Amino acid sequence: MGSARVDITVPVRGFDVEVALAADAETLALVGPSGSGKTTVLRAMAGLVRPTRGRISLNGTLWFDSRGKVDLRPEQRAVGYVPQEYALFPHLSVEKNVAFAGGKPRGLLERLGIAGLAKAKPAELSGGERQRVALARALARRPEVLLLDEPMAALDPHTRGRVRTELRALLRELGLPAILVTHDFVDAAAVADRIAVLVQGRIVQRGTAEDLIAAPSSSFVAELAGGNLLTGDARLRVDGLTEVVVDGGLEIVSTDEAVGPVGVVVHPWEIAISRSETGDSAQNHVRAPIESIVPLGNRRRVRVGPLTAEVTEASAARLRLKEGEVVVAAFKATATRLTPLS
Amino acid sequence: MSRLLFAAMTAVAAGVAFVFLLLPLAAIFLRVPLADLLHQLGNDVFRDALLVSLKTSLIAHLAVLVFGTPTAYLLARKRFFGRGALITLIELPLVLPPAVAGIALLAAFGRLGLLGDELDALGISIGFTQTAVVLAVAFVESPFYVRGAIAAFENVDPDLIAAARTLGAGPWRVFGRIALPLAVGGLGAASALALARGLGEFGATIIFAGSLQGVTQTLPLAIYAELDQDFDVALAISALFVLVGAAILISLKVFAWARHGSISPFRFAASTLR
Repeated sequence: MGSARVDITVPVRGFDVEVALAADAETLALVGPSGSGKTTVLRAMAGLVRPTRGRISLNGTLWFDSRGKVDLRPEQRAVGYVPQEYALFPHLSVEKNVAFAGGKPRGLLERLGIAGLAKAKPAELSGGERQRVALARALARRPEVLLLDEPMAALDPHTRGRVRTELRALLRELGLPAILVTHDFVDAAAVADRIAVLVQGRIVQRGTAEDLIAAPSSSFVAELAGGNLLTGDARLRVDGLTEVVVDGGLEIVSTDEAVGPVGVVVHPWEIAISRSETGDSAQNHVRAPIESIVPLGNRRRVRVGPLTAEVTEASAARLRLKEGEVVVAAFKATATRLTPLS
Repeated sequence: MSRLLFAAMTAVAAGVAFVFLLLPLAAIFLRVPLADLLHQLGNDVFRDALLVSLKTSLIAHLAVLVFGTPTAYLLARKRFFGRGALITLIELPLVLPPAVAGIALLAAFGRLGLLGDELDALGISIGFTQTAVVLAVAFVESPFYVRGAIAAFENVDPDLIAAARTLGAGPWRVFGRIALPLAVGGLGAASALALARGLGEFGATIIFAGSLQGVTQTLPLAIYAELDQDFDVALAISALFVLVGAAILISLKVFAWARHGSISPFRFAASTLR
């Protein structure tokens, strides 16, 4: 199986991107705010920018070594690069876009469910279709590593959930080392096996999504990972909503569609805290004692049972929240994201 | 009140500008009936000049395309020290009087010029031959083409070039399959404008190549030569230029409109496709 090893320094405007990464047959997500150097890492791996120091190797073959003076040109590196906005060739049909990377496109188009679009031009496609064409084209290159730059950013929220699931399944099936760049922690948690958080060119924390949520190393990671991640078993209800029985017995309702094992993601700022279950519009209510209250700037992070909620300092004071007191944490089904597991 | 005044003043200014620009052009066609103009085109001077013009412009234009296109691609794609200076140098002939271009060509390739002895030793004499016409035309029109071609290549999204490279394409394939087809609209426009400029070349040609009927006398030189011989011939050639010029401009606009307009039928097809 594949293995990608990266240890490089690339100067960008204002700071150095200094990153060491290793990915075997797994998906590693590089998460961080825009301008943190995520894309630079991918471009360096593809050979589009030259690091000032370090090494890049794929399956034991050196692609770049600043000391050994190895620097393969982009066309010599077997990368499946899916750039932001996909960079499909506008003057070529879907089929010719894919064939540009070599080989016969038919099989790949069928595999990604876009065989019917073979003769279409990129301008005629929806965001989701374009993403699949870009993936097919990247795979036609017979890559040793997949580099995906914000593959979900150009999609509308509705397609996004479905595409996450598809992408996760595809990456599992391929068994290639893959680096996924995204600014969205939920995308990373849904698609990747492991996550590295990049800030100002440095990796500030790495681990699984659960690790980062449970033990963020900084308030920045806490804010980024932010969300509550519960795992459970989903089933569709007759009213079109999805009901998830979370490990531990709690029942949660979501507007996302899913069946089987899922991760439930709720951002702390989507959770309201009250003294009692009032007649609000939220579908989900968790009644539990407050485990902890952590100040975070002008806000308070309140741990209620399995959930972390974020309320303003003023609200916390008004409700006179204290550790140990029983409160109700409420959140709407529409604010509850489901990410299929396995 | 002041709005009205402003509207009136701009309208008057525009009116003056239009009349000033169009009246002389219209006069060409109004002085002599069209049928007589056509008749003048049977004239020997005209036919010789037409042949010289077509031959020299085509050769010069071909050379400009063959050398100018890679030059423009290089300047559009690579960032290096002195790039801005090089582009400025290429643009210099644009702001020079054509007569200066003629003198410069004489100084370089003329019998007494910089390369005169070397060319003489090889038995080559350029001054006052058709080769001189070709050089003069190419010299004057190439900045028009190269400038437009640089812009056309710069308009190609660098992400597409980068994507093509990561997909295994070497420089030839990147150029032939991606950069060239995507820049072809801009290259065509630049090419047409340069060709028009080349056809109209006068100053550099008359100084460097002279005006010998059937050898170096191009259409613009024939207009000048016929001015005090047979004014109607001069008028007829001028009329031809106005028509050719208009045809080039109109075809450029139609071409741009067709390329732009082709997007909407595609969109329509896409929605019926799904």
